[in-house]
Amino acid sequence: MDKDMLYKLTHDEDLPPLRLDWLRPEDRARIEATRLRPTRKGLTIEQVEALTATVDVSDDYSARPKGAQRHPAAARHNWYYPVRHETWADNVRLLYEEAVQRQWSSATDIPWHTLKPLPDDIERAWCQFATFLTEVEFIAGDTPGQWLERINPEWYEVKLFLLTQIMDEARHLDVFRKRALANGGGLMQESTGAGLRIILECQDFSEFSAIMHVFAEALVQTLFRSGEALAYSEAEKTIFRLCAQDESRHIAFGVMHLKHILETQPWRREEIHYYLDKIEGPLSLDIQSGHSAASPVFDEAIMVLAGGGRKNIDKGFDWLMQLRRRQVHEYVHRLEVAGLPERRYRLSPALRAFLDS
Amino acid sequence: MGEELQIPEDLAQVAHEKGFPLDLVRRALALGFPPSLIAAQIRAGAQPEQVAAYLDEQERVRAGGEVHIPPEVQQLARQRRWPEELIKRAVRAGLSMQQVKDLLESGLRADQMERVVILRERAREAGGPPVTLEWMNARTEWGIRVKPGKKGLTLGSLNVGSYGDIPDYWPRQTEMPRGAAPNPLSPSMGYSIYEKAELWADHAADLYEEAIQRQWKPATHIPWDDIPPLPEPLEQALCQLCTYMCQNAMVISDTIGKWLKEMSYGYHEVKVYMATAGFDYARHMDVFRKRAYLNGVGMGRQSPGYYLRPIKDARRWTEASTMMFIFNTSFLMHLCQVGYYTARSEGDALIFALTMQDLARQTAYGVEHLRYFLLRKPECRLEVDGYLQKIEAFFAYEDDKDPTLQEALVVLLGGGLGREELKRGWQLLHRFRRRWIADYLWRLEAAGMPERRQYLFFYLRQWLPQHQEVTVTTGGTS
Amino acid sequence: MTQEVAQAKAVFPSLEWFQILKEMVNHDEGFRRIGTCDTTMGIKITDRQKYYLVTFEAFEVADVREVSEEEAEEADFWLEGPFALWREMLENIKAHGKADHQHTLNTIDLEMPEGFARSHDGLRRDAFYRFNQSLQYFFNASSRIDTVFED
Repeated sequence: MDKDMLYKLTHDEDLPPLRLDWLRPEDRARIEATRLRPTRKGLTIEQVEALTATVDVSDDYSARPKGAQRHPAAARHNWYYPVRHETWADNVRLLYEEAVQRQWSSATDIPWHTLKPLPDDIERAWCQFATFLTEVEFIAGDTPGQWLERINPEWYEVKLFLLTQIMDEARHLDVFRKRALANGGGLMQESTGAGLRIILECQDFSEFSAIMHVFAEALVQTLFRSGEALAYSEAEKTIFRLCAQDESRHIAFGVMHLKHILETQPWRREEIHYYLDKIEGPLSLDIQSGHSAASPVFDEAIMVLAGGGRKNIDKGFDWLMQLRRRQVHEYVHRLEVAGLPERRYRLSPALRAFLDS
Repeated sequence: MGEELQIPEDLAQVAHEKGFPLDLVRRALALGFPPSLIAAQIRAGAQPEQVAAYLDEQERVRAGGEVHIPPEVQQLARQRRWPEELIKRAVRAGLSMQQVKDLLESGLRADQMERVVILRERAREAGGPPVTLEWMNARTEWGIRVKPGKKGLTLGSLNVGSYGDIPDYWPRQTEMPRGAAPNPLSPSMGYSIYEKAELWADHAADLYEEAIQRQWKPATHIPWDDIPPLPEPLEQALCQLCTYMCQNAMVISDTIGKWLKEMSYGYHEVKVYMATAGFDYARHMDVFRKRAYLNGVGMGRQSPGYYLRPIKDARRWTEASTMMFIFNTSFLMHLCQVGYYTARSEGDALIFALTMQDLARQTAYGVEHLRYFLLRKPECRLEVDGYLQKIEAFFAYEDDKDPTLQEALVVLLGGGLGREELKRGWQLLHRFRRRWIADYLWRLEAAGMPERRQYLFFYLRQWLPQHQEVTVTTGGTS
Repeated sequence: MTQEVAQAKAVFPSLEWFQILKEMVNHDEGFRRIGTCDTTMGIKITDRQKYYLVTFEAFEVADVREVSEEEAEEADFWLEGPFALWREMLENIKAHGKADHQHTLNTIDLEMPEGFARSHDGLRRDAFYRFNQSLQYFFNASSRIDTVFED
């Protein structure tokens, strides 16, 4: 090492020459020219972004935060989506802020003390139900995780939202595992998982969002919202209510993203139909060896819970059919809102059977 | 004529409520349709005339009558290559001709329709929903009743009995929850981390619960109204620091997301803790961006990102974790300490204090994981040393090439751009950097790597507590 | 954060002082709302040879004890300083209802070359940052104590 260099490094009272070229004169004028003030909702991203320009295309593959001055020698970090439409949803900022505000703790916000001993068949059904959900919820966490690095920093709000979704799904994995082990039961049978592989296999963001947010999470959300019939305690009702609240945000993103895609990239309409065919239609019947996408063990557990026991499984089946009907109707309605009304006539036969003619 | 079929009470009730003729219900029961299905159809608004026509056809066909296939259906069937016998079976199994036509038009292949028909035939034979309920006999540990403790019902408290057996190797490639009964049909999910030593930290479950309990909300937790602009150029210097924090948070959260799907389900405690870490960084991105724009300045200059690239480029979780949660987090804590120290409002101080809180949880994971890893894989010690060498070297490279962040800190610490202020800032920066390096090495010592002190990358040695003479060693990685 | 008004009198440093603080904080919803806090904190008033151990568990202060110097150093971390430093901090808290920026635990720690928060373990010392909000709230609660400083 050069002696002069060493001297400079070790004699810290000497001030090295400073460039200070990051200080911009124009910034001086901006200080206090615009001052953000929190509203009833606090200081939101929406307020910040009202001061910035949102671009539709970005050719910057570095990790530059939106609005930051470019560094001429910045390293590229990723092959991001270069077009905003590919990952955007108009409600994403709102959904992120709402997610941050509405976090809950499965350890302390569920009234676990209200769990009461249940007949063996019902407890087994609850544990099977919970086993399925603790299994699948984190696929919905793993999958957004793999898309994070593809989201362009220019539209960082989508990253923020996906990070809240991963947090939500972690909580769901956690709360259902807790339910399975809190009332004298245990974990039960693993599901077939084939339908969930379809989610992990997605090669495009819109594919992932359509399949996961609009289809899969929507079915689960309807189930949670209908969960009163399956809940035997205040604890279970609370679990359903809080999980449904989280899922609603994910669906809201998915629907609005789909809407955005169909409006800005209308040539992708048939492509979207293919993705939905894959998860709900004839393809899924093939891939999954004829079993239902949701897994028969899950359906049977619901039947036992809704019927109030094995002996009333007919009643439970009835409830399940009503649920299916509600799920399919809500799914079709969401697709109509997203701008895909013709999906009603292209649903897989298994789902179409539940649509009112 | 035989005895009149008894209609179950609840089905009769449904029919009565909907004004549906009971004789049609009896006919449907006689044909073998389960009560629940009939009830569902009535509730769905099935019209008696249509139902009567359908039942007429079913009774005729099941009595041996020929199934008549309309010409348009025949034509569709030829196009879709459905044999006529398949259509006839479908009708005998209980589908109406309209349903068959709908299925043809939906594009179902013949083999898929075959399966639909088989399922229908089986359901009719069973006389009710086709259930097995085999899962009720799942061979898992039963009778678990974990009760909430002082911290509520925590994730870690579930690790009792066999559910607390956390194996050194997780044998399942699926998303089977630990303790559940495996399903041989379940496909691989493509994880790559199956070894506990590669990601474990004993208190990951505790850190997860702590993270949830101590979450804070950037929009509402910070008293934004009480953060006046700093005197210029301090406001700009702070915004430059905020820009750096944003960028760093974004890259780290991307990296966490990338690795989540690699972690197998046997170690869910680590996965869920990482979810909270990702969420921490989301809030950091949020709060620092808001702070930068609060008083009108906005984002400063991006950092060139050289130093963050090795983190993204990591090929092993321990490599990524050590770089992120020991080196990088120590550096970020240092930046937050500067931010806190120079804060002139409660709001600014709170931003940095809350961020440090989150970062300290991450160092707790990083240190514990490295400790666990080195205890079980002592042969990897030099490898880890190499990762530290790499990240330190890249840090030095960027720190030298791009003085933007350093200068911003000097301005903040010094309080202005005057010569004496900058000198003071420079001296203070060195003091803070000495503290950073001391804390960083201390954490490595806690992780089981005290020797890193000897092999610290040369550029960083200027901030060792007692500056060490330059030595060239033949051992280690210097 | 709001803190209910309640007055008590005690000498600092003394076990009684810490016990009063413990009771106050354990009845304060604001402390609970910060979140769980699981750490042991040693207190060393060096020139008075007075040492205490405060144990935080879940949502409360579980225990306060007068201990030996060695026992104080067995905590996850300890706060060490001369009486004058502690007095200045507590008087500032009393005057303002909470510590001003120059007298927070963080600032004092950053100002001291050796640090205010010390430990024998680099990992355990980080508890000072992890639970800093709770620790600051704990000391801020002393504004409700009529503290007597004996010279």
